[in-house]
Amino acid sequence: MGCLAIDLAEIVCANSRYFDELVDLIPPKFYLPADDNVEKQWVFGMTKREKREARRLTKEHSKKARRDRLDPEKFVTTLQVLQQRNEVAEAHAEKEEEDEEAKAEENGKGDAEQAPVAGTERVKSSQELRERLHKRIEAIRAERRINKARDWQERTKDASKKRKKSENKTTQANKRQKQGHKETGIVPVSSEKVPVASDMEFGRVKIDSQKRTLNRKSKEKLLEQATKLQKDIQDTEKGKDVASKHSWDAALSRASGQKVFDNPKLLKQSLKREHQRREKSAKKWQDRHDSEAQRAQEKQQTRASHIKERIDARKQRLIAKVCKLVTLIDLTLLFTPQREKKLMRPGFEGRKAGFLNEAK
Amino acid sequence: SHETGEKIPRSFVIGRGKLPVLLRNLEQDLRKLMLPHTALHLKESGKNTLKDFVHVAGPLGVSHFVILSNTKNAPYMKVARSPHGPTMTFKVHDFCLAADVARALLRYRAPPSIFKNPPLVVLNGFNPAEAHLKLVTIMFQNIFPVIDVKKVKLSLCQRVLLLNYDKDTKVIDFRHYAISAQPVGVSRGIRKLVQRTKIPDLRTLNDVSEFVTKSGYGSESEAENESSRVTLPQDYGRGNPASQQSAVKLHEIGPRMTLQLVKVEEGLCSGAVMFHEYGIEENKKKNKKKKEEPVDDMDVDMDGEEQHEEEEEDDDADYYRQEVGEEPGEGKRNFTLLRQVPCF
Repeated sequence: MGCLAIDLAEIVCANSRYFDELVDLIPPKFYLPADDNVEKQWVFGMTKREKREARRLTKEHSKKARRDRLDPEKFVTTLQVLQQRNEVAEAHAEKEEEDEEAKAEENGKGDAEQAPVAGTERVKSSQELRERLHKRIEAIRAERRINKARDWQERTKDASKKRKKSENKTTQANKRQKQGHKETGIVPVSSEKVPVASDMEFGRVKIDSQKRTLNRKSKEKLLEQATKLQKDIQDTEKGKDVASKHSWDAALSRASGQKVFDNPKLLKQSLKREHQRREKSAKKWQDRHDSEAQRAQEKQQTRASHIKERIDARKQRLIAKVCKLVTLIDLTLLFTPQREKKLMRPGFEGRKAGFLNEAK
Repeated sequence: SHETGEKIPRSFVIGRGKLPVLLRNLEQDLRKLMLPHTALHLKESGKNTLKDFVHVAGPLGVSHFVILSNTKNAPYMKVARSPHGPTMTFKVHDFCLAADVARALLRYRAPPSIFKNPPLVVLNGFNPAEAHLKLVTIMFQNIFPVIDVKKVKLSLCQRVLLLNYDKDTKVIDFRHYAISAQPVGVSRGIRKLVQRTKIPDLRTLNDVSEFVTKSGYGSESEAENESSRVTLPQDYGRGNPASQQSAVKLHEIGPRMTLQLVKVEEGLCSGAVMFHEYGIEENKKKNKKKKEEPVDDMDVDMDGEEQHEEEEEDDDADYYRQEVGEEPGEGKRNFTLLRQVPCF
């Protein structure tokens, strides 16, 4: 027997052919991964129209694929499909490399940086972008940052809490005061003066709480003044001036909420009403006062009578008791001989046997 | 009010006589304007006279009356103080309802929360040297409650009423706006993020940085108008913290009117006339013959054209006789002076 001529290449070729035939037995559907040309579309981001379109395309594609599969002229084995795919992938990879190089060159020009390799290039540029973004955000923040500014979320939380609480809670101004800030309400914080046209007027504003002037004259005095005013108006010469001046003054003060008493008739009515009210209340007081005195007197009387009754009753009770006792007691026991002896001893001053010269 | 310790002025907005639908809507708009210190759903019947309202106003603490009435010439608005106060009569040259404003604007914003607090009032052009103008300012300043500068919350001042007086035409512009503030100095995206509750849609962006650095700094109008920028002393709504720069913006809401002050009377729709636009002497007769009655529509068309109140040289009775051919007071309706502006 002679030695086998071992030809490595032949063995490898034979093995390879064997594997190829095995692979060809498996249909390409099962052997090869899904075709990535049809991009994996993110279905959730699509609108209805896009979804409809995609569905239609997949249907068409599948139909076409089925026809191709069953077409004897277009028959391709698994291996051939694999080869085709590899070729396409290579072509794509080459194109990408070229694009990246171009981009890297551009970036390099802008930042005066070198662009060595395609893979690491990409990473660096994105890192750079991120750094630039952070810088920009910091700049914006620094603009807006003012000392003691609270966190935005805290503020919104506080705001919602405040809305839920009742209106009588302390206002922002008071809170700031508590925290030691110099808050003066609506008065602007900085000393910027807003230029206001001289003709502008605003709603009524209360700056200082002043005590109300307690110069309220009595109604009689007001009545006097009102009648005097009426007389002045009746006066022919100056009457009109007085009338017009007074009416304007009265109108202005009434418009601002102050009460003007210039109608003598109304004043008289009001005086009368007040007088009646006072009388009525005086009368009520008097009645009450009298009735109180009367009630007190009555009470005293009843008290005295009760006391008297009690005393009498006690006396009666006592008498009754004594009588009862007396009936119970055997009086003969009182007059025993010993007792008599004791009581009749000479010199005893307790009982009298009678006078010496009394006839026995 | 418990803050200022002063009485809060309350108002009634009523209409006198049969008002057409537009004026009824204007009445409703005026009621909304005067909220919260007014009777929004006040029901008036034809039989109610002014005296009824005055009697009711006392116990309820109502201090002002705003009365709308309609005539052939124009609608009239009276603002008066109850019970003995002065009355100012305005002629309404033009008016525009809140609904019209809403239809005209692209984005009409009038949320009901802004009507929970009374509006601010700003008057411009009223020369205080003239007595009647001074009275107008004082009247409008006192229709709304006093503001305590120390205790008031800035975020509650959400509406403003503007009155502008034009010296030449003697016409008062009446406007009603809602106030809002926007933070300045930030890009539009961030401003909207801070001011709105809506979470922004980042689905089309690849990175958060794009959202932050996107479309520039707001609309064109933000660049100019330095005068509308203020430093807020208090927080004003969402996104406008205190001691920050904010731009104040006005959005028109309510009715618009052009008014002309015609008459000022001493009493509540009664009393001597202190000021009349067209002269007191000429209109003395008219003033004497006023009646306190509700006005009905004049369905008898006497004048073809509109007559101005100034042309009153002749005796009114003669004029009536000329035009109608009857004695005054004998017609179907007892209108003795037709050109008179029916007042009461």
